[in-house]
Amino acid sequence: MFDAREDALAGARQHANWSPYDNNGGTVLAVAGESYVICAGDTRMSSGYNILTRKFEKIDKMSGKTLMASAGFAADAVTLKKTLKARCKQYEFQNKREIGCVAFAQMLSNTLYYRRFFPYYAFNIVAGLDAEGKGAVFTYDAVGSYERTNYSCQGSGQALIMPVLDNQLKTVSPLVLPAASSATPLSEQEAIDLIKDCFATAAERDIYTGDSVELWIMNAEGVRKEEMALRAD
Amino acid sequence: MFRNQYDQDMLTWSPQGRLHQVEYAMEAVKQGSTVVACGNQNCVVLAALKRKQSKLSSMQGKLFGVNERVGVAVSGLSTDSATLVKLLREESVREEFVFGRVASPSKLASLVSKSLQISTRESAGRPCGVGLVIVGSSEDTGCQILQTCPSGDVCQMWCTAIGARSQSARTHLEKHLDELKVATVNKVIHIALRALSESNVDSEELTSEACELATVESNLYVSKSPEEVQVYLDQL
Repeated sequence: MFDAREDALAGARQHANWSPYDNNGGTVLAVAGESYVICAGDTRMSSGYNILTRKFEKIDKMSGKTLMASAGFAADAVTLKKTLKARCKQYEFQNKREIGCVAFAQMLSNTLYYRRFFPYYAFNIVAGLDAEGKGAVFTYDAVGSYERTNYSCQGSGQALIMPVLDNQLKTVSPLVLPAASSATPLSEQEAIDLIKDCFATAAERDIYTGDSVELWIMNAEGVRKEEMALRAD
Repeated sequence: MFRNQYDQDMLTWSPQGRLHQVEYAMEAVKQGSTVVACGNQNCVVLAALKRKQSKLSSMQGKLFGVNERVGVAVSGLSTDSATLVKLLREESVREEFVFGRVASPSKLASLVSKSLQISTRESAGRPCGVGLVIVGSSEDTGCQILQTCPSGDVCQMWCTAIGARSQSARTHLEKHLDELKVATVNKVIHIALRALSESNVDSEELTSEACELATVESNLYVSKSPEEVQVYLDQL
């Protein structure tokens, strides 16, 4: 304490000796197709150079047509999902139907910005089917800025995977005329294979991504899961 | 004879040791249309007669899902009942958030009872003129029926009927009490609907438009659609 005061007097900057945040690592991504959406995330949870668990689920179903995936600080991500789930239930009671993914996306943004000055350290992706049954992906920063896109990646492996997705999935701008669909022309199976490849590749170089990847595939028939093992080192 | 002197507000006892305001509130429950609940540990059925305010309006709903295992039927002032149903639903959401579990019927009933009782000893508000029949299942007790009234009293029941002309329904249920204890869900539905029809005006036949039905079995509260209700009515 005395040293800190001397340091301050000498002009040295004070540093907190405790941070409310931790980064539990991991990567999540989502890809939207004409009639499907796939949300994937690895299952490793780490802290520093330690692995806390190899079976942590980063993706959860928030309503019939909405999935949410988060990378970053697991405690914040889990609490954020809990809070939003409770809000989804209230929405159902008030509106007598389940919340749609576009409304959910807006609600997440508002919830995040509400904590503008003590943010949820969670980097989120919302994936779902919109009112027309088309795939929708929404990508966020930690304070709620969001955008609807056709694919996105968040987390420790983002820099490794995003360029691959840009290369394989980037389509015409939705602003170009005549209007052309900017959803991925890939079939569901092709998208699944691409996503598995991306994770396997990211696991090679990103130490925080690995163990296994779970894919949630949502289409008109419902949601199903696939899992693939990744490097465990 | 002395009734009118001691019934002006919530804070006054009568010399006979009664709170007349609470008793008057209980009369409001008897004004509501009939609700019947019956069953056993494995399944419980809620049935209610719906009313509409005028020929041009829609039917007033009587049965409300609270969480995946619990539902509630209301009888009395419909606006007061909306407040209580909201309370039950919000508590269920909170239970899920805090404890990661489905709120049990008895916990919900205690909570409502606490809220109801408070208004019987404060002058700022009035008692809620609503009787609730909470049905649901929980892991340790199986299916349950819990009845509350404006005084805040909570009673667990084998079966019950509240609202207008409910005595006829209760008599019918008492006659079939032993049968109910071992019945499967379809039989319980038939007994509930028959009990309900006893309470109908001039013993008119029940219609699927005027009748609401819900069941709790295998840990799930399910509201029946009018088409499903019609199927059961046809079987009667």
